[in-house]
Amino acid sequence: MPWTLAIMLSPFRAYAAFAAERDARHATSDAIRGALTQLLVIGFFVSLTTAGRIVVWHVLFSMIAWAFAPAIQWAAVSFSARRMALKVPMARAAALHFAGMGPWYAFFVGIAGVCLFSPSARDAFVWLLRTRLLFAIVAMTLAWGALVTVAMFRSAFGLSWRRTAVATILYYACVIAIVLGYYAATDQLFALF
Amino acid sequence: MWGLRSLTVFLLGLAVAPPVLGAMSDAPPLRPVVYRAGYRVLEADFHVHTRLSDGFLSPFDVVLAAERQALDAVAVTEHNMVLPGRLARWFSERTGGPIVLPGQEITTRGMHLLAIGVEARVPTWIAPREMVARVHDQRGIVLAAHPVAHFWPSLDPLIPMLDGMELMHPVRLVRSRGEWNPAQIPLFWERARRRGKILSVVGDSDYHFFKMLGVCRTYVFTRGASAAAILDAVRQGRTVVRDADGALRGDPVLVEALARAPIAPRVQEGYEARGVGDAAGRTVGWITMVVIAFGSAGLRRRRRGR
Repeated sequence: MPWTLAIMLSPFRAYAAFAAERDARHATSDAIRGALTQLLVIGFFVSLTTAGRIVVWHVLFSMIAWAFAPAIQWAAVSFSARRMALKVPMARAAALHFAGMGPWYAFFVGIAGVCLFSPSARDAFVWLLRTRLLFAIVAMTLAWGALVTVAMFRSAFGLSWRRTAVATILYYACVIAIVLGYYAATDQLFALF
Repeated sequence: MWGLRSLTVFLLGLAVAPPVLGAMSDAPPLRPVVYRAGYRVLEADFHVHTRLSDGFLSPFDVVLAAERQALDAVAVTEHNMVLPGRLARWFSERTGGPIVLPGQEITTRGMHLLAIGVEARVPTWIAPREMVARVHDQRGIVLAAHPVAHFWPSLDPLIPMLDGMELMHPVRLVRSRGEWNPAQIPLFWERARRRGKILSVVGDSDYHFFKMLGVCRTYVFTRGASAAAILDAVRQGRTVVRDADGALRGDPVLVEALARAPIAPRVQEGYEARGVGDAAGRTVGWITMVVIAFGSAGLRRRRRGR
């Protein structure tokens, strides 16, 4: 079974096994591969939902335009791990984090699938909105992603439950602070929220 | 289990087929040169967002998407930023894409204004009248964006200075939700008329993601295919919009000209495949996405003896 799927379905057990199997020697290459995977998935998602097909330019331009996403996650998970007095290299922290992107990948794959394969994408999304199902799916993805993050700090980093909770909150606080900081700096904060 | 050669061929197929088939199927539709009532009619979307704010697409991708949706012109109006519009214009000029007008959605708590044709950002901490004046100083135009009643207290004092308003917006295609009652939008035009101001009407997509670009659009009756001609046409009220009920709204003479000789719709809202190759390419592309997402971290080896 692919690691990303295993971690998604059994986060605590799979993350412990993943961390044990993938030692720190390969951390940099694992982290870079994880970041590129995330950007490729986003690029494919943007292309399929914008053009209804794979357009190389959409994939490439989206990878550049969304490069901030894995960069923010890399910074946030490294900062959170270091604050918990973990002597873990930034690349190792990032590599472990990127292996847990399964819930988000499932979300992107599912939405792209609705666009491509439903008889009428418009009717499908109107139904998803009207039944509040889309909001439920987004909420579930966020919650599942958070659970995987908890499993990463607990099982892959070996933190206690208390420190796992602190690290998880710190991670999400970092991400939110960076995003809000960008919007505040560009005078878009009140425009968007 | 597959041999290494078979697996390599399979993975190469996943990697190569989707972009090749996608490129073959992604030819942009023709943008015919259309004249009505002695004017060159351009189809434009004056309200588009990019990844530099809350949209999905980069400024370059917006140009490609606008071409795919057969738009003659698009205004990139980012929230309180003009850089995305300038980037999009730079790219479009070099790739032969549609006319791109840099703009800014001047966004405050009390109102949203579309400043089209501006090069310098308009600050949001100055008085609203001063904001509009600065847009006009740059030879740009100011449109009231989705003018629901929530924004009227701030918009009313600006009516004499406005160049136009968004009459058609995707929110008018859905039911009323909270503060954004779409039925109020046409009432703003009446509000302005009673104050002696005839506002030019535009239809925009307020594009953020998916295939919504150009789903609402404006027929602009210009004296030439250029940014300056478009701005001039909007100032003089030479615009027509297809309303939510399908009726044409705008300058009566131009509405009559379009009604007598309609322009065939160009927008493609759905995701229908353009043939077997396109259907195969996008299906394989979706499968490739799944394989990349869940396969790149490697496979968990099964432990021996368990």
